Parts: sequence; structure tokens; C-alpha cells
Amino acid sequence: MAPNDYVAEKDKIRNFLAEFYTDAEDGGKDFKYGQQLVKLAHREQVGLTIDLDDVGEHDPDLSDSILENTRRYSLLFGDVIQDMLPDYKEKEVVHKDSLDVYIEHRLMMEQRNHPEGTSEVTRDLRNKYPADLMRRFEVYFRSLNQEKHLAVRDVKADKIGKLVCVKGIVTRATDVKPMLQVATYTCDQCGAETYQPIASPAFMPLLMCPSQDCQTNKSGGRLYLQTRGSKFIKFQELKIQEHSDQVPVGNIPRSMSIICRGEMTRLAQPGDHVSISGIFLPLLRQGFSQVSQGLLSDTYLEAHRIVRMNKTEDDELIGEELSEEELKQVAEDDFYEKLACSIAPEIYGHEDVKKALLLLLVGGVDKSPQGMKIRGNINVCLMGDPGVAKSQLLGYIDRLAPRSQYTTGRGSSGVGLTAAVTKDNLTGEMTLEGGALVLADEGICCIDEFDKMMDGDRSAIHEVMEQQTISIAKAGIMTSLNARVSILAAANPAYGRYNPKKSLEQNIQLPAALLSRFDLLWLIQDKADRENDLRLAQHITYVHQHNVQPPSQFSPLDMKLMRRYIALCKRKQPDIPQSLTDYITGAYVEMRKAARNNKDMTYTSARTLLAILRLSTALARLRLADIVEREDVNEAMRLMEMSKDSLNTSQQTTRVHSVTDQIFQAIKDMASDIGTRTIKMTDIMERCTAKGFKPDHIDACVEEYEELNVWQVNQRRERITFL
Amino acid sequence: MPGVEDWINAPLQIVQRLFDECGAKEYSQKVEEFFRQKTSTQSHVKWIPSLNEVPLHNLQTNSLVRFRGMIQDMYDPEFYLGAYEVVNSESGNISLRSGKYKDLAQCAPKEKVDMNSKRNVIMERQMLYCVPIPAENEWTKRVFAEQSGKTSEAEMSSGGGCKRSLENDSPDDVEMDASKASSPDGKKTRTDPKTSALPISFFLCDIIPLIDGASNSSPDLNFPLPGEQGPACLVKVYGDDASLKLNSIVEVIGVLSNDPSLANFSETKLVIFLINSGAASMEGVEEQEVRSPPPSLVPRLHAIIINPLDIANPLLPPCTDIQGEIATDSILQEVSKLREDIMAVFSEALLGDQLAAQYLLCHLISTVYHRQDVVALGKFSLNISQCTPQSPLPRLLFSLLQNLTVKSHFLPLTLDNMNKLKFIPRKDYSANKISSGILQLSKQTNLVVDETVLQAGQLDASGVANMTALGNVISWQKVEYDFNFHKQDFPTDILVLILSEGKSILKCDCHVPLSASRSVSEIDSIYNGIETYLTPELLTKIRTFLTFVQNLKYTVPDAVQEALQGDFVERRRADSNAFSVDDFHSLLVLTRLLSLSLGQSCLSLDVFSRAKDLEAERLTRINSLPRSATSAAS
Repeated sequence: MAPNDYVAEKDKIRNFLAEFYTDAEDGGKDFKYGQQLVKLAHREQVGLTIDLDDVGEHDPDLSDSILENTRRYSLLFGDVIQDMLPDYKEKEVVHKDSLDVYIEHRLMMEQRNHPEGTSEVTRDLRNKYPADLMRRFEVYFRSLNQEKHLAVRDVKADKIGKLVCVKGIVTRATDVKPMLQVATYTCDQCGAETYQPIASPAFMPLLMCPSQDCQTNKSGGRLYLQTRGSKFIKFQELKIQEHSDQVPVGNIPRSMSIICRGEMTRLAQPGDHVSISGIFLPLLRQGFSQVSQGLLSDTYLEAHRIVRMNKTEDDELIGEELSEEELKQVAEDDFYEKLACSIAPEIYGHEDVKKALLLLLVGGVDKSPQGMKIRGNINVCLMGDPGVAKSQLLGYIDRLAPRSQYTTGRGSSGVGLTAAVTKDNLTGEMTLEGGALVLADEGICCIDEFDKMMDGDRSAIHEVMEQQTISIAKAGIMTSLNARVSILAAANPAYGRYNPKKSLEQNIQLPAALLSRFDLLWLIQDKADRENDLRLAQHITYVHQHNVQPPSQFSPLDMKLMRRYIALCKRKQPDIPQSLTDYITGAYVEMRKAARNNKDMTYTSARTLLAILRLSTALARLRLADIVEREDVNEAMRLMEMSKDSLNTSQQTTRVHSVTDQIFQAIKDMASDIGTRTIKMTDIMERCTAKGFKPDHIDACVEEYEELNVWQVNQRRERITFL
Repeated sequence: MPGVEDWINAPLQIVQRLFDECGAKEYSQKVEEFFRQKTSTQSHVKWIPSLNEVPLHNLQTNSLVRFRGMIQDMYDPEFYLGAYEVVNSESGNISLRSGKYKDLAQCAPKEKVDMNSKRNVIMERQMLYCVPIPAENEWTKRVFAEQSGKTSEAEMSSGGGCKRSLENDSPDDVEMDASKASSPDGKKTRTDPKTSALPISFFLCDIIPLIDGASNSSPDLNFPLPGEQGPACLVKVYGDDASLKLNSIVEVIGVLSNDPSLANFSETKLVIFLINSGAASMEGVEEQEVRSPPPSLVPRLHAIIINPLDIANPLLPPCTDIQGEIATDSILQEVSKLREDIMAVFSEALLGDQLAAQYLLCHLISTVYHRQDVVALGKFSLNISQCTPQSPLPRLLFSLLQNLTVKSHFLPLTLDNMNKLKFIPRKDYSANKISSGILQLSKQTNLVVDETVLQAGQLDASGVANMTALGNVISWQKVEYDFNFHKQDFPTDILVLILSEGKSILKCDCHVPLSASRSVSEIDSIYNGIETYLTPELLTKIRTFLTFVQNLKYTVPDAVQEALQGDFVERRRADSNAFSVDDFHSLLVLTRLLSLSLGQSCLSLDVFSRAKDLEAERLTRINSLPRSATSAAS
């Protein structure tokens, strides 16, 4: 292809714009660009985005040359569209602003003065209308879908003139200002208009009228800038900086200037994560600075497409299938352990907790039999002594999950978590603003310091945790918002350290109603045991000696790969086969029985059964299977057991509570509930029998503690008083 | 002009020759090879004047110089014409020139750069802003200067006699500058030097020292530590070298460029700007000033060779050649004797406390040797408590350490300092630079914190942030640089020694209460004694020793390793709360340091039990502290 044969290229472009179509749903042809051209002609649309995928489909050569020399082709497209527009005009266009009127007048002038275009040769170039002046549309390119985002530091000198795609965070954005694109002058002597197209950031205004009249008469006509006749374009300059993960260790993030024109302005604000495709160009310098600057040139990126990204920036990536190699990396025999250990690899141990978190990321299957909704999301609560890396785990999950919100209990009120109705000052309209839970819809909400939340605020979460919606009835707005979130909470024990002698509620001071909504409760404790210690010691000495991880340990999976694998898992909807239901119910009945006998510190309720179902479906999802197997159920039950064990372990070392102890505890609780030191005997009887104690046991207990001088019983034995 | 003068004074001619010979693609590699070969021996390197020692006005632009500094900031890359075409308007000759290693196009009076030529190639180069190594001690600088040979010494000594240097040393220099000043883009036009040189040379010699002297008040050169002096330098690196990291120390050999016209161009903007506010681009005036500071303050250096300088101790023998090996052996032989000397000095300096002296030695030779995820292994920050308040001990101890270590800084932890000083480096987006803070220090810098001067009072927000940052350095060996929209961790390796009255408010790896056997009143005479004891030879040996053992390789035999593990398990079984994982980590580190300080690169059980004894003694001391003192401090 001859490099300079732009006439032929123009024909190609014309062809493409006119003929490119996609198959519409109704079987007809959808002329994607043709329709847009009509809109452009009617001034209903300003920007025209050319998708290079479409161009590539139509003419691969053309899209390649566009990528290589984007600036030139953007001008060519402009010329071609300008030529084509009159043909697409279907009706008379209403003038929107003065420039439209100017353009029409100019067109009429043009036709009157130069009817056939014959005198082209003799005309002074400056009197011809510059193409930009007559144009009310803007051409943008959208680069190929498979084009990778570059880091700012990868945009090098060889990319100059090409279409590149960069990612970054906006650090600075100027106000949007009008920029002169074509300056129009009129002469004070002859009245002729002179035009000056401007392509650089600075220009030298014209002074003397170059028109033929003035030149021949030597009248020395002065030129004056006509603001109304000139064409201005919106202009904004952005500065983006690399994402911190694109910066090699020990380097400073680099930044880049972005110039946005026309429709590309006002798309991003400082702090936004953006993906920008545009043309990488050297900045033209004029005047003296060019000379003294010597060999340097500044560069900038002319924006063609700005997309604001949230954390789902990898959406496109997730859409892709995992490659063979990646699947192989994931799907090894011990993939479950491997995946679990890849969660927060810097935290040593806690395998079961990590497994629970992995299942939380994957989630169970939602069920809605007969309209009743049963959530599939798994809620986990981590408890533990201060400094056992709870917050790090939360932080890691927050980073790993494609959609998540992180808040702390103290920093968020019930309104902040759920949703707020606010009144717009200007219009007086009521608007709904989503809180953290709504924003994390179909994601994970991490709440740190759960215990430090106000009670009233916490109650707002009850509905979310079971029904997965947020209902609002306030100020005339009654609505239900979706909040299909998994909640990952972290709480500190009430007395600083977990006291194994106390029950769960006492330790965390959370109501049972809320606790039962968590599928798994973990207590993370720092305990000494020989085997663990030895492993730890080996680990530490190895690291100290060899400066590397012990070889037996795997290398953690990449966060991106994890994210994609989890996304893949989420697409599966495994079922529980009929054959397993009996097994599960049997197991559940066993658990209930065991719990009753053990006088457990935790609960085993119908919710536990649901939790097992959720966990086992999540496990099946993790295997990418369509059917839940017995092993999944077993593993789910094992996790349940382990989570219970973590709460109950220290029990064995303390003495077993006798019935008397338990009754005493109950009476003591009553006293603190009522807040007096005297309790009626009948109340005690009522409460204790309700708890399943026998009357003679209660009497024995009262007597025993009376002897110990813990309390006094009055003579009629109708009330006891604590001493 | 063949010989040495050629490649030192006119390196660009060689570059151009190689460019003509090899073509645009390969010449840069050839250039590097050429200069590497030229500088392969130490003696040749010494011929190149060093920016650190020779004042800037004694160096001529476009000559080869050396520079040693720390990378303080990395600017965005600069795009330049790597090859450009020059048209001679008289003869019409067109020639292609290399644009590397220079800032300004070299054109004869009648020549002009053809900006639109197709043969122009745009390339990019990395920009590193380097400052002289922060906290570098006087003796280190002196030894470096001595090593660079007599030429620089002569020039250093001639600092006072401007006239002499004017007449004898640098007529060439003057001539160059004169011609540059008269025609900014003129090539070396050898016009008559006699006529123009004199007045301008007077001007240069008289003014430049003034500017240098006044540099404290003029633009902020962004030194991490207040009151630092020395030349900052904008190093332009060709080729993509990702191994250059922030805060690492580099030695650069490159082409100096300090043409006055490189100062910012803001005043030359005569044309009207399109955007109403007057700022053509977002690179506001501030950023321009940072990017192009006056070259008399911040010379540009086009790096041809850039070497990381991992160990910035000039005394350490190079480990590669045979001479180095011999020197290493001689050090190893003397280790035990040297260690005794050091112990004697330290225990004297710490008022007769043997135990604290042991820990101090271990502290001084500690270094982060590995990072496991977030844990930095090998760090050993030390807190010596029970120092009498208002005593001169911290300062005297610091002056001793200053004399022994390569880099050290003293930080009195007063409320005022904590609230007002900048600890954390912060990205300044309006100027697009990193404004430095005290904690931006290179590897293995000793930071001595004097907590005895701390008074009760109000700590404001920045004070709290500063304290947190200092705490992070101690516990993780990392500094969170503030990038406004996010924070970024940069690993550091700063050795923190805290001298405090009670237990320090910052949690250190190791806390040793001082038990002085001599009274504070004798302190002046003690330190005078130490000064006389430290003869220059002994000083040199100790300085070498400290850096040498710090970099010894260290191994733990399997048998010893198992013994260590067994010990850990035993202790945990006895009382799980008394011996945590962190305690085990620090015990291992202490063992390592103790072993190294004895010159043993292979751990023996003997050393391990010595370390355990030390720890036990330390713990009894802590436990015997008055209860109220510890609880109040913690």
C-alpha cells in the first residue's frame, strides 16, 4: 500500500461508514454508522465513536493503519463524514446556536461566490473556510477489544502517533475551558473575513488583512478577532498517575498529561480510576521556546475514550475463559487447600478460617421455592483476641472480592450502612442514597469492629442478613432495595480477651438473633500446642536461614487468577440430589441431639441446616461441579464443627458445669437483668423450669448457695437476696 | 587530541564518532562499552573529577564527571530527539547528529536544526533526581575525597584562591562558558578568548560561590534532612534500567551539562495563550521550576555508566579482586582483638555497662537481610532506657557513632520536632515532585533518637502521623509515602537506636535498661578518654570491621537449626505466654548478629547459648525495674 494514497484510503473509509452493518435482532441489517450519520446530520449527536473492531471486521488493513497513524486517520474520517453528511440529511435542521446560523450563512455565501468551485485556484487560502469551522461533529476511535491496557510507564517513544490504551488514577483535572479551534477575524477596512485554524496551545494573532482588496489598495486593514464567528471547543487537561500495582517495587509512580476536547471533557474527576484510549502525541511548541528547548519535546495523550472504572476493572478479563495453563495451575489435587492458602498468604496458619472465607467468596446457591427466598450468601463472623490478624483478613477479602465495601462498625451508622433518604435542596425531591450494604449488592460487605456498633444501627442489618433486602418507609418513599451481600464481620471480645468460661453472647455482647444469622463463627486464638509450635519453629528457622519460604510451601496464586476462578465458580448452580437429603437431615438431627447434650455455648437451629446446605453448594461450585456430593456435605459439616470447636475448645480444661452451677448462673443472670438484688422465688422457678431444670434441683441449688452465704432466703422462702 | 584528556573533556565527540561509525541502532551500546573499558581500573576512574568534591564552577560543561548520591525522586521520562538533522544554511549541507548525552543541540552559527526532518528520532530517557547521600558522615566524605586522588584535593584546597584557579587551571573552562553565554546555541566557536574571557570569568568566579553559599534560602533542593549540604543533581538515564530504585545509592559517570539556558523558560513565553488563565498547560510555573531548576544549583548529568553502590563505605576492600581477599583475611584474623577494643570503647561510652555494649554492637551491625511478606528479617532496633534526662550522654554517644558508622543522623525527639519536622515524604502534585522527609534515608543509615528531651505536651495531627511513621519504620522497616490518593509502602533499612529515660514510647525489638557503674558527672572525662584511645588506625579498623561483618554471609547448620527448634518448643511448653513467636524471631536475629560480630559466619551452639544468656540477663534487668516506671512508660 502506498503510504500517501489517502484518496484511496478515503474511499475505503466511505465504504466502511456507508456499508458496515450488523445483523439486527429482527433479521434486518443494522447500519450502525449510517444511523449515527443521520443523527449527526440532524445535529442530534456530536461525537461519533468508530469501533476499531468493526473496522477490523470490514477491512483489517484499514484498522491496522488507523492504529499506526491515528491522528491522520481521524482527520480523514472527519473529511469523509463532512462530505457524506448532506446525503444523510432527511429533514430541515433546527439551528441550535449562533454557530449553526453562521455555518449556514457561510455555506450560502460559498455557493453564491463560488458556484461551481471553478475559481478555487485563484482564491486566497485564508478566505476559504477551514474544514474545522464548518464541522459540528467529533470523531473518536475506540480501540480493539483485545487491546491490553498499558501502564503509563510502558508508553514509550515508539508509541508516538499511535492509539494507546492506558489505565491510571486521575490526579488533577483542570476546569473545562473554551479553546479556540478556528479564529475568525474581520478587517476594519474591507470587511473581509479571515480564518486561522489553530493546532497548538499558543498562537500568534494575525494583524494585517491578507485579503486581495487590502493587498492591492495597500489600505493596511487591521484585523479584529470575532468571538462569535470563531469556533471554540471544550477543553480540559487531566493528569493521570499509574496504579500502585503497576509500579515496580521501589519506583515512583509515573504520570501523564491527557488532553480532552469536546465530548471527552467532564468525564473524570480527580481520584477516579480511568481507562483512557487516545493518541500519544508530541506537543507542538511554537516561538522562542522551541529553539531554546533544543532537543526536548513534551508529550500528551489526546483522549478518544475515557471509561471510569470501579473495582470491577477486570470485568473484561473475567469474561474471558481461563486458559488451559491457568486451569491447570488451579485444578491440582489439593486445589481446595491451595486456593484457601492463597488467601492472605502472609498470615501464617488459620487454614480453616481461610477455607471459610474462600467459601464466602464463592457463595452458595440462592433458592426461591414458591416465592420464598432463601439466601445463598454466606455470612461469617471472625472473633478473636486483639492482634490476631482479623483486620488483615478482612482487608484482603475486600481487595480480592470484585465487588466489596469495607466499613468499620464505629464509623458507620445504620443509615450509612443501609440507605438514606435525602432531600434535594434545589428541587425538593426526595432521593435515595445507597449505603455500604446496598453498594455491595451481589458482593461482600466487610464490617470491622462489629461489636462496637450501636445497637440501633446493628438492628438494620438483621433484615439484610436473612432477607437480603433493605426496606425503606420514610418520607413518602416506600421501597425495598436489593442488598444481596455476604457479610464478613470481625469483632473483639467484650472484655478484651475471649473468656472461655463465659458464653458466646456474653463474650461478644451481640444478640443471639444476630449471631444465629452468621453461618460460621470463628474464634481465632493464639494458643500453644506442641505440634503447631514445632511447625512454627521450623518455619521461622528456615526463613531465617535460607531467606526464602520453605520449599514445601506452594506459591500463592495470583490475585487476578483467583478472582477469575471465583467468577467462573459463581456461574455454576449445583443441585442437591434427592439421595443426599436423607443423609443431611440425619446429620442435622445428630447435631441437634449432640448440641442438647453438650450444653453447647453456640446454637444449633434450623439456620444451621441451611448453613450446611449453603456451604456444601459453595463447595460444589468450587469444584465446578453441577451436583453436590457427600464429600461436600461432610466438609461443610466439618467446617461447622471446627468453627464450633474454636468456640468451645477451652471448655475441656475447665471443670464441667454441674446442674447446680448452671442454675446458679441462670439466677445470677436474672438478677442482673432485673437490676435488683432481690428476686422472687416464683420467678426463679418459672425461669429455670423454662430452661429445663427440675424443681428439686433448683431447691437444692438455692440451699447449697445459701449455705455458702452467697444469698439469703427469707423465712417464707419466697424471695432470695444476694449478699 | 588522543589520550586521557580526550575522553574526559570531550566525551561527546567520541559519542558522535561512534554514532557516525556504527549507526543509530548500535552506537549507544558501543558508547557504554567504550567508557566501561576506559573506567575499568580504579586509577582511571580517579582521573574523572567528582561532582561531590570539585565545586561546580571548576568543571566544564560537556565534560565527563562522577557523582555519588541517593535517588530522591524519579520524574516522568523526558522525550528528546535521539537523532536530529542539522542543515547548514550557507552550504546547504545536511548532517545527522546524535542527541544523546546532551540537552542542547550543537549547531554552528549558520546551522539550524531541522525539526521536521523524517530522520529525526524521538527517544526517551529516565530522569532521576539525586541528592548527596543523606546523613553521610564527615569521615566518609573525606575518605571518598582522599581516594579520588590528588587532583581534586588540590582543587579543594584552592577553594579560597579564586584568582589562581582562574589564571592557571581553567582557561579552557572560562572560554567555554563565555562562548556559551554569548550565543546560547552556538557551538564551540573559538573566538578570541582574551577579549571576552576576562570580565565574564570574574563574574563567574565571584557570583557562583555566592549562589552556592546562599543556596539555603534559594529553591528547596529537597534534601531529606534539614541542614544538609552538597550538590543535588538531575541524572538522565538512557536505557530502561528497572533496577534503579528510589532511595538507592548510585555512582554515576556521565556528561555534565550545566548550560545557563537550561533554567526554566517561563519568562520567554511571549506568545498569547489560548486558554484564558495564561497557563498553557497544567505544568504550572511550580512544576516548571522543579523540572528545570537553575543549572548552577542542580546540574544535569547524562549518565553513561550508572552503578548501584550497595555498600557506601569507602574503606571496605572491593571483594572481587585478589587484593580484596587478602584484605578480607587480614580483617578476619584480627576480629577477636578488634571486638575487644570495640567492646571496651562501647562499655566505657555506656558508663561501664557491658551488657548494653554487647547489644549496641549487635545493633550497629544489623541489617534487613530478607523480607518475608510484611516481616523484615534482621532488623534490630535498640532501646537503651534509664538514661538520665538532660544528660549529655545521647549527644556524646551520637558523636562517637558518627565517627564509627558510615551514615548517621541524630534526632532529638522534642514535641516541637515531632510536630513541625516532616518525617514522611509526600507527593506534591502541584510541583509534581516528592517533597522529602526525614525518613527518606538510604539503606543502613543509623538514626539515633533522643527521647530524654521529650516533655509532656500536646501532639498535633502531624505529630501523631510522624510518630506512627517512626513506629512503622521500627516495626516493619517501611515508610508509607503519601501519594494523596493512596499510600505506597517503600521498604527501608534504617537502624533505629532510641535513648530514653523510661521504656520508649515506640516499641523496639530490644529494650535494654542501662545500669551505669560510673556516674554521669564523669561523662566528659570518659569521652575525652575514648577520643584519645581511638587512634586513627584503630578508627579505620573499626569502621571497616563494622561494615565488613554486617555483610558477612551467614549460615545455620542443620544440627543447630534443630536445636533451635527444640528450644522453642520446650519454652513454649513451659509457658506459652512468656515466649511468643516474635520473641523467637528476635532471639534468632540476636544470635545471628552475635555470631557475625564474633566473625563467625556459621552459627555454633555455643554462640546460641551466649545469646540466650544475654537475653536472660536483659530480662532480669527489665523485671527488676521499678514496676511503676515500666507501666507508666508502656
